[in-house]
Amino acid sequence: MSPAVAGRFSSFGRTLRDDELVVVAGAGQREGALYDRRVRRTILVRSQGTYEEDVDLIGVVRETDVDQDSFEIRLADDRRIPVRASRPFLKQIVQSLQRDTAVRVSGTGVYDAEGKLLRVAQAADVSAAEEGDVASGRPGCRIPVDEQVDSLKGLTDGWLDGDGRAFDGAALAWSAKLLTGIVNGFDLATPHIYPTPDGSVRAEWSRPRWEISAELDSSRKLSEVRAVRLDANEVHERSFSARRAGARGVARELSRKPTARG
Amino acid sequence: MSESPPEQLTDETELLFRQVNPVFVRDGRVGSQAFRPTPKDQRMLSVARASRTTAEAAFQHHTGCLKLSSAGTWAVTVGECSQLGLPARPDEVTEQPCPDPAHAVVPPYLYKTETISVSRTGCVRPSSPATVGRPASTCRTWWTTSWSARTRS
Repeated sequence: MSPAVAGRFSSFGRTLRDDELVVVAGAGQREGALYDRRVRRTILVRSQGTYEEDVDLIGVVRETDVDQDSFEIRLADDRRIPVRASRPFLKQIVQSLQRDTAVRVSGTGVYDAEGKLLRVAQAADVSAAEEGDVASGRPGCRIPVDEQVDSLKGLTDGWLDGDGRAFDGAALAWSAKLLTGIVNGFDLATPHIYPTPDGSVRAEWSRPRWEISAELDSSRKLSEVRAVRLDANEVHERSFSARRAGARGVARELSRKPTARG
Repeated sequence: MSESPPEQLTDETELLFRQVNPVFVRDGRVGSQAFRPTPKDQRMLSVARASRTTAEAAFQHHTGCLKLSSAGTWAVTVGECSQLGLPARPDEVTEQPCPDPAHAVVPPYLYKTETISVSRTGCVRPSSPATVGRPASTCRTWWTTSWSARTRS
């Protein structure tokens, strides 16, 4: 495929979501080639090494270059991302830099083959981030909680190369309800959710200086919340009955310092 | 696993490759479960020494000869393990049909809080009280996923 042809895919399907696809069918036909985000990324990475997708970031401004219409934003996970922005946004950017307050940036992100955000090619909007704002893309998981938990239904006994128990539907429903309540009710970043071999559901949040996890044991209706500071000798651990405390109790633990907010 | 020789690995910069089951990769982020031994591992974390194999060869051995699942190869260093009080040691497998001269093990966790977690960026880093004074920014950002992504596509 020539670069010119491949380049046309840069704009085609850029706003597709994970659950959407385009059927490229001939006139009068309903079946044809399927084109989704994965296919688009593959085409673009093979032709130009990177791909573009809409991006929504929250962070603090660390550098500005007015002459180059650009600035650098530092995200919650300490990544520094260069951003190009037009002049009308510069006032907001300089203000954020001076006050050390967070901004929300949406625009066109450029990603490498591994899905790592390299830069924002052009900001479409820059605004002051509000308390409780969570970036819709990253740093939280891009897959909704219920979808992540639901995917565990497919794990059968021995799913971990012979180890690992199958998950009970009611247990997963309990875990999904609890975690969704926590995340939505307290504006937390969407956690990454994993199974454990003994049948628990484990939610994890990565923060710049903390690793935070909540392990939900549905059989005992027990939740264990744990936070480990990466740069200091500090660990918080607490087990409690999720039956009594419910989503609000677990959320209280996560909302304490260290926060799991995105 | 074979009889364990007593010596420890001493090159603190040596990478120890770990195969990560696909269920422990979510939206590109590797969960901490991936660096916990399973019951099958007899509570010893199985790894492969970078001085004896490559990330790709370790992946091929795991998925090909052993017929186990892997989303790719991640790694920690001998030094990162020893900082947690977890001395890695060689554990060469000589038995057929899948001999593995690169095989090594990291012993069971001594304390509940000693774990090795992997950030969503793919950076492998220890998280433990043993990392006192070690800023997160110094964690390694070494990847082996590029080749495994290629083999999957």
